[in-house]
Amino acid sequence: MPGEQQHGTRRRARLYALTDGRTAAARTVLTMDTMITATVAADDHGGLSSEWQAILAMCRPPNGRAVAEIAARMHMRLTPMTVLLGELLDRGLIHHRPPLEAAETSNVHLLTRIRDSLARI
Amino acid sequence: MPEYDTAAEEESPVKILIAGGFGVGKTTLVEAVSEIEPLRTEERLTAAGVGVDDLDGIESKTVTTVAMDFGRITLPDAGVVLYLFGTPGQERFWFMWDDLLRGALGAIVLVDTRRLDRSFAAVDFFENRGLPFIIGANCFHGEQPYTAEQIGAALHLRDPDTPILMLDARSHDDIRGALLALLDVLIAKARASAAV
Repeated sequence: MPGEQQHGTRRRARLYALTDGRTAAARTVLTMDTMITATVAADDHGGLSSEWQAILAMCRPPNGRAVAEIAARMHMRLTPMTVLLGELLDRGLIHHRPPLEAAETSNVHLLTRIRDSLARI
Repeated sequence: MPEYDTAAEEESPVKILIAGGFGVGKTTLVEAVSEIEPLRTEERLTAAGVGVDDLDGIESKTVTTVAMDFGRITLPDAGVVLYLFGTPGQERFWFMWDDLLRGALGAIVLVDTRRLDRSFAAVDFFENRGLPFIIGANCFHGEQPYTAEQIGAALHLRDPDTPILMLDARSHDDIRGALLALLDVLIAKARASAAV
C-alpha cells in the first residue's frame, strides 16, 4: 500500500544502494583475509541499513572477522563485500588489519609461536 | 556515541591454503580443526582481472565463479587468527587471483592416490610461485596402498625433502600433525634465510 512502511519485509537491498552507487573497489585494498573490526556499536547506529548493522554486530571487538568470513555470513561474494566494507571503512565505522607481510610471515619467532599454539589445539 | 577501544590487543590474520583436486577431502580437513563450521565464500574471476563486480549482467566466456570453503583457528598466544582456505578446483584461474597467495604462510596439498593427477596443478602452481607446501595423502577407509616415496615420485616433486604425510582428513590429530609439519618447514626456511 502506498505510504506504508515495509515493516518486516526482508528484501535484500541492492548492492548499488548499499554502496551509494559505488561499484569500483575502495581505495584501501581489502583482501579476503583482511581482518575487520567494528569501531562503533551497531546499536548506536539506528540509521544504518540492516546489512551494515549486521556487519558491525559481527565484528565487535575484540573479535575481528576476515572479509571472507563476513562475505560468507552475509551471503555475498567477495568482491561486492570488499566494496561494501570499503564504504564502511571510509565512514570510520570499521577498521581493518591487513594480513601479515612476507617479512612477518617469515619471522622465526612468530612462526614458532604459531607452531607452539597449534600443538595445543 | 560510545566507540570501541580499538587499541586493545588484536590478532593478525594469517592464512594457510588447503589445495587438492575435487572430492579429495579439503572441506573435511578444514572441518577437522576449525573452531567454526566451515563457511563458503565465492568470488567471480575474469580474464580481464578482478576488482569490479559485474553489474551489467553481460558475462564474457572467461568469467567463472569459484567457491572456497574455509575455517578459522584463533591462536591468542601467537596473536594470530589462522584461516584455512580450501582453494577452488579451477586451478587455471588461480594465476589471475593475486589475493589467493598474498599473505599465505604455506599450503597443504591434499592428494587422493587413486586420482593423483587431480593434484598436479596445485603442486605446479605452488612450486612456480615459491609457496612452501607439504603433501597430505588422504587415506580413504584407513588404507593407503602406496608409500610416501612412491607418492613423491609420482608427483614429481621439485624438492625431494617435501614432507609427505599419510593422514585421515577427518582426524583432528592428523590434521594438527599436518599443520605442525608445515610450520616446521616454514621455520626451517625462515632460519635458513635469516642465516644468509
